[in-house]
Amino acid sequence: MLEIRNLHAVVEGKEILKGVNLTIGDGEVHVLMGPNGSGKSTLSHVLVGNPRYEVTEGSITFNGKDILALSPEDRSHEGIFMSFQAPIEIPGVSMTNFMRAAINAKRKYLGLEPLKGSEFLNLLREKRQIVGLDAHFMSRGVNEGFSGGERKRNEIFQMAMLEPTFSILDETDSGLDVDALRIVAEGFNRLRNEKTSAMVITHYQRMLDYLKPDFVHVLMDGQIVREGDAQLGYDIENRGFDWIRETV
Amino acid sequence: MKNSLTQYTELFAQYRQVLEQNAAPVLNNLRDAALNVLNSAGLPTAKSERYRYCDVQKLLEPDYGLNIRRVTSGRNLYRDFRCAIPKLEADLFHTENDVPVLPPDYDVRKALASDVCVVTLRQASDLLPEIVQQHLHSLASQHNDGLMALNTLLSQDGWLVYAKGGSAQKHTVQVVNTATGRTPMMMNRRLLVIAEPGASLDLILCDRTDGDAGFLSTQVTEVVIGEGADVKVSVLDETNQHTTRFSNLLVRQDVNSRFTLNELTLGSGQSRSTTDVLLAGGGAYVELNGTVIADGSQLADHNIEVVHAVGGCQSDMLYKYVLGDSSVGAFAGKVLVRQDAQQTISQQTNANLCTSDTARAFSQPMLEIYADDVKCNHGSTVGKLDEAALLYMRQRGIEENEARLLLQHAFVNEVLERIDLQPLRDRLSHLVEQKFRGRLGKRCKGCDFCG
Ligand SMILES: Nc1ncnc2c1ncn2[C@@H]1O[C@H](COP(=O)(O)OP(=O)(O)O)[C@@H](O)[C@H]1O
Ligand SMILES: [Mg+2]
Repeated sequence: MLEIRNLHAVVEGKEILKGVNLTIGDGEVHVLMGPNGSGKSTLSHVLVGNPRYEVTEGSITFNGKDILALSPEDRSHEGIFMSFQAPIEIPGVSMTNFMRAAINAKRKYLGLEPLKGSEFLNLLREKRQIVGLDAHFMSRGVNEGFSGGERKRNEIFQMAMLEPTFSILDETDSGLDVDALRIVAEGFNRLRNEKTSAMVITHYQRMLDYLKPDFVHVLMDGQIVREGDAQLGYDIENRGFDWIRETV
Repeated sequence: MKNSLTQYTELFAQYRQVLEQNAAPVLNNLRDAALNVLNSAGLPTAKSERYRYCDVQKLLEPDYGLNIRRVTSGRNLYRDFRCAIPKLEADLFHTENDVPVLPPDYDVRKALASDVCVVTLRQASDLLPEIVQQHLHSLASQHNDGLMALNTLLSQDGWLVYAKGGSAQKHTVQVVNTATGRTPMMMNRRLLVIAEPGASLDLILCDRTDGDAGFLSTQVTEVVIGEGADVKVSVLDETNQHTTRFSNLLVRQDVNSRFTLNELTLGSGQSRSTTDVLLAGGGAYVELNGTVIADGSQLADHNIEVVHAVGGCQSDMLYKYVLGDSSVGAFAGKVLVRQDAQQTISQQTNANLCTSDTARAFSQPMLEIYADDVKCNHGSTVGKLDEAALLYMRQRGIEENEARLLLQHAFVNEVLERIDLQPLRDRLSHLVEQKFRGRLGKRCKGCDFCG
């Protein structure tokens, strides 16, 4: 599904990614771990095409397509979704209008007619329930006045609406209490199937328990320095990153 | 060589007789005083405190024609006009260039008897002489302003909108000013609004152009609001980019009155709006709202002065500009609180969004306070579109241009939401979107009314 080869990326003149290699197959969930500042969010932003991040070397192919040539919106239409580490507030653009614009843009890309008003509202209701997001959030501005936990649930709600094939969850679990984490993780699990894959950035064992990832990768100083199965994640949870650093 | 001013004063000297014969008598009484102001103060220059961002002399330089003999095209604006605001119930009046044109079969007697009476100033000179003499120019005469004097020198007619007291029902009046000439033309428009104590009035003023000739308009609107009266004025400017528009709005509010202004500037090449509000009676409330969406090389210059002359009044200003291409937005808002105006509450906000690197915003909120027990706030911001918000929207699949449009619309929505007349708010919101999409002023299918 996704193949990242020797990826180098620069932000504000500073090289952050220094040759990342990563392959993610259909139906797989990969966990990406690494100390703060190692470049995990940078990798996520490069994957979705944030124009502030410049790719200086390497390639990313997604289902055989060179996605570096695509705009962020086309990458989204191709099935890539990111749950942002810090979802931004967009006052004045209501959640409903925002989602309608997003859904219909995707349908247009796929050559489909815009959704009818009632169909759209039904979809909105159905998907809200996956993460238990109350109806009144839909008439607010995007993330406007949402608590930290509500924002994260809103990310998974949007994921449910857009039905991506590849999702990036950038610390979607951070700052959530036990219940909110369960809602988010279970919501995510309900959206999984043998065709969808994910790259999940997390620091928490609890998330590993819920997700049961197929692979764990450790990113340090812009490179993947270790790979393993879920056990690697538990080891890091117990021992931190220093022991890996010493063995690199 | 004729300078900007003498080209008009000489024309006036030469044609004064014809001009006055074709004018409302009440206006003729004011011309000598106007000439005095022009001769002494002259036209504003770049040094004039309130005209720092607008080169009046240069804008008045071109040779515009005047329609002194009041010729009209004879076309039936009431029949041809297709841009009525959907679902709005309003009494509609048309001005062709600067000639007020009454609806066909307009019953003046009936108008005089109704709660809100709309007549031309010419008719008012005959039919309501005391009222019009008492109020016309009563506010403008307090200002030594060359532009307003030029309007007074040359204007020949206009409208009187007279809302009588005690009318329980709210009335909506819409005046549509259309410039129809095929050659560059100067138009001098005049409007007098009187709201008697307790009266209630919604007034919508639309400025449009038919065709792409260059126009110069000066307009002086005086609004006299009696005790407890409630007046809302909405101004929509969707004239073409060759238009130079000078607008002066003067308001005087008595005890416990309310005045709300909503200005939406979508058009005009060069537009200057001056608003002066005098809070003369305790408990008066004024709300001034403005939205500017400018592109190309548009200039949108708002200059506002609110005077709290007595205590216990409230003023609230919210102006938002979206400036694209190499447009220039200027906002200068001054709140003057006189010594006796205790317990004044005043809020002033100006926010600007520059969507290109060449657009410029000048923002100058000012407070001048001589009373000690007041609550006054002001704030101003100049910013760009939020790149993080753009990325967020694009990540969800919303195309970049569409995302920009949504963000810009959201930015000005805060102002548009203050319009409580729903059909008007919907219409303005629609026009804002058309403007953002570059579709404003494009001829609608099946209509040949505008450019
Ligand atoms: N938009 C940005 N502007 C400037 N520096 C950035 C930006 N994004 C990331 N960086 C820098 O890149 C490095 C990696 O950051 P990040 O990818 O956020 O790490 P992580 O998500 O692993 O904690 C840090 O040194 C950070 O300061
Ligand atoms: Mg991060």
